[in-house]
Amino acid sequence: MSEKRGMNSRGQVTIFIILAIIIVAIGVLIYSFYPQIKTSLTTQQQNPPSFIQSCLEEKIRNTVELISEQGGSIAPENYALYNDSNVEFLCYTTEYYRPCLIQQPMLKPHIESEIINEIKEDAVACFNSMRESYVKQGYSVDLTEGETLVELLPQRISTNFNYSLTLTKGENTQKYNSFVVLLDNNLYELTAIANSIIDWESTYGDAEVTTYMTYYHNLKVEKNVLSDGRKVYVLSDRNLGNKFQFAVRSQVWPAGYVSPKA
Amino acid sequence: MYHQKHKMKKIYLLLLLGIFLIGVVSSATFCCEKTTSKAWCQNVNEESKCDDDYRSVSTFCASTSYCQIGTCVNQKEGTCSRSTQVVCENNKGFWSNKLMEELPQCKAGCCFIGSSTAFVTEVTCNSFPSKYKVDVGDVSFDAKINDELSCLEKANPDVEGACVYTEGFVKKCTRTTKSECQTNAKNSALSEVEFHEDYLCSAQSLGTGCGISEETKCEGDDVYFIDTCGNLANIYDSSQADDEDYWTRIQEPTCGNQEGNKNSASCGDCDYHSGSKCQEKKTGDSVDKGDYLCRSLDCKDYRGPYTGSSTGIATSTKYPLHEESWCATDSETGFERTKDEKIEIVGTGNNRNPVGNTQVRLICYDEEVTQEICSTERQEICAESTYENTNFKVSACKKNVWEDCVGIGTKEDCEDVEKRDCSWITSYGYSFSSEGFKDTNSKGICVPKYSPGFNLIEEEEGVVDGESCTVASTTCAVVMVKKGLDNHWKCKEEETPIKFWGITWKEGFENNCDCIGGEGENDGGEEWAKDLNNICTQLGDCGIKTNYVGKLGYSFDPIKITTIE
Repeated sequence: MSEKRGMNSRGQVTIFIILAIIIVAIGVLIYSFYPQIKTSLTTQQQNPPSFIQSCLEEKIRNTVELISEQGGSIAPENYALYNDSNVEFLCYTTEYYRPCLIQQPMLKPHIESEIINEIKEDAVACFNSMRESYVKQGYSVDLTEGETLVELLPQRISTNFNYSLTLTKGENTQKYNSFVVLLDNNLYELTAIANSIIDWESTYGDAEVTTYMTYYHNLKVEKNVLSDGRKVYVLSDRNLGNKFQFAVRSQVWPAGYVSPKA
Repeated sequence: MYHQKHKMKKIYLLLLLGIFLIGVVSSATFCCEKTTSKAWCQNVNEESKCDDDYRSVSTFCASTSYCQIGTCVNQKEGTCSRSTQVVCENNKGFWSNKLMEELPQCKAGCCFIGSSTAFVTEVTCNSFPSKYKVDVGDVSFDAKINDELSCLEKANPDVEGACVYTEGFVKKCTRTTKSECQTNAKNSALSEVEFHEDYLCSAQSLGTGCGISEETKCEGDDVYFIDTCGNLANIYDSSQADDEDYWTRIQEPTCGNQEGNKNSASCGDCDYHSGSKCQEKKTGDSVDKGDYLCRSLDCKDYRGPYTGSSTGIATSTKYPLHEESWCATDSETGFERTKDEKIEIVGTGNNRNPVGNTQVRLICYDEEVTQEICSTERQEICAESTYENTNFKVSACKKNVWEDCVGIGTKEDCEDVEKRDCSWITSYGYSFSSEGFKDTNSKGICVPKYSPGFNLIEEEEGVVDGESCTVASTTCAVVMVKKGLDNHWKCKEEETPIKFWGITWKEGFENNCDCIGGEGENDGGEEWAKDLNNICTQLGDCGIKTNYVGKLGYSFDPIKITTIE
């Protein structure tokens, strides 16, 4: 009998030890993965500006990338095909011997409006999605749609959504009057260089690429000559990797001898 | 009365002629506000090329109101560009028919932004505070300074030094300018703000927590030491890493050479124009302290065509330098150096300016070689020159001025490099005349130095291309006889014509035995054709010529023999 009791108490001790090990192991696991667990728990509590930033940042980035590859337009009309991209002619002439005519004298505002048009629908979807998310969390949501402004700025692109949002839960009220999505990008600088190249092309019929690279040490300028005198300029930042390319047809000489009739 | 009638008749005739001429001119040119290919304001030769939804007039665009070139002003940014009215206004710009220089809103002046300057318009200057996040009070504009150089000279970099302050009972330091430090002094969270001109935060005498370190970082093009607080110290010089004086005051570097200290392990005084820039070290790089060095920007791994190498190909010892540019060609033709150290793309005979060959300008920048193709069909050629002392090469694509070569009659005019790119070559007596390409006992002939190529794939309207080779086609009449038992035709100058080459025989034609190897000979005209082919090949992609991959062309029928009994 006493032997049996001894056996039982030894078993209990073993069970306690096993339980203790399991508890310690769980504790260690929680400690190790705590930041991730915390993040996944707090995702739902993301504040409205961060919600909009994470919802629209990718779309804005992709739009800027596409526009930069296509000479500043989402759907180029008069373009040269280069590396599978339709690159808009920013300065163009159909004639021989003459410098080109500038086709887009307001490049920066044009790019800004192209970005706005392209992200418009996604912005509405993101704000609606944010509204639903807060309604699910028990908030009373008052969202008023406003104007969207995109501005190319030095080293960044700022997208400002002038939406007003009021979140109310019990006595707690939060108000937001605008939402800003910032993107690290130097399209502002690249369009300024592009304008300078276009100015040279429309005046002299050509532009010298090394001048720009000598002055701006992180800038790479390539001039790719296609058939029929068309050129595609590719401007890229060696550090950030941002790129802007556009096409030009200027001061073209015809091949061979021109008949007097031409 | 008669005179009056006659006068009226003349006026009507002139009017009719005028109307006819206007008709001729306008039928040739239309100004499309927008073409079917969606280009704005283009002169085209057919109205069908104009987009129906936009305006088109049978005149040149310069004569229309909407496609006239003027100045387009971006009123928000303060930038101006040459543009047509329709393009400018469609993009919400302000258009003026005046020149840019005549518009006050396009007039640039000197914009002062803190201690730096920029030569821009007043509107652009006023946009800087929001763009660069500076105080409105720190930006001002001076319209009286009207040239860029004078403006840049006005830049007055503020003195730098150590800005020492107390924040939360802790003494801290930041390397900054005097004005920034003074701005810090207005910050209520900071106290005891003091500026120590020319001092570094690591100076012992300042008693801050910032000390000497072996860490470095890139600032601009140079490698800098940083102190334990992360502030910039002086330019990296491993020999002074522990020198207290070097960590006390801002100093100019004294280390290394004057050539940018390429890949130097000990000196961080880089120079972009000498070919070095601060970059993080890679595997295999050796640096005494820190993780950055003045990396050489020369294209030392490039192994393509390079005129600076005796073999014509870059090697591990002869490679292009940063900012160097040189000429090459995509054909298999080699290079030959002329006496004046200029590179001329040459070959011999059939190899000269091969069909399909394009000249290329190669550029070395930041360890990378990029190529710029000079206009196709050799409408541009690559010109290269070399600096005497350094052997450094610079090049450019320039217009191949070949168009008027065939009309030049003297060697001096022909080889005037200021006016044209032509060569005076032996013509075997032939020259271009009003009667065609004929033997006129000429001593030479003027031909393009770099023969223009033709676009044989897409022949443009009005561009003759291959047909123009006929300008050097010619006929040589030869009287042939058979004598005695000899059954072979031979040239005989004094004989009456029995058989001759040529399309039509006319009285007065001379018998040209030279064309078939001389009197009593008959080589079938091969040598004569070979000589003239050398002229042909210079005119363009004419005659029997090698193509850009080195394949020699052929002709099915280079010599046509017409026999007239």
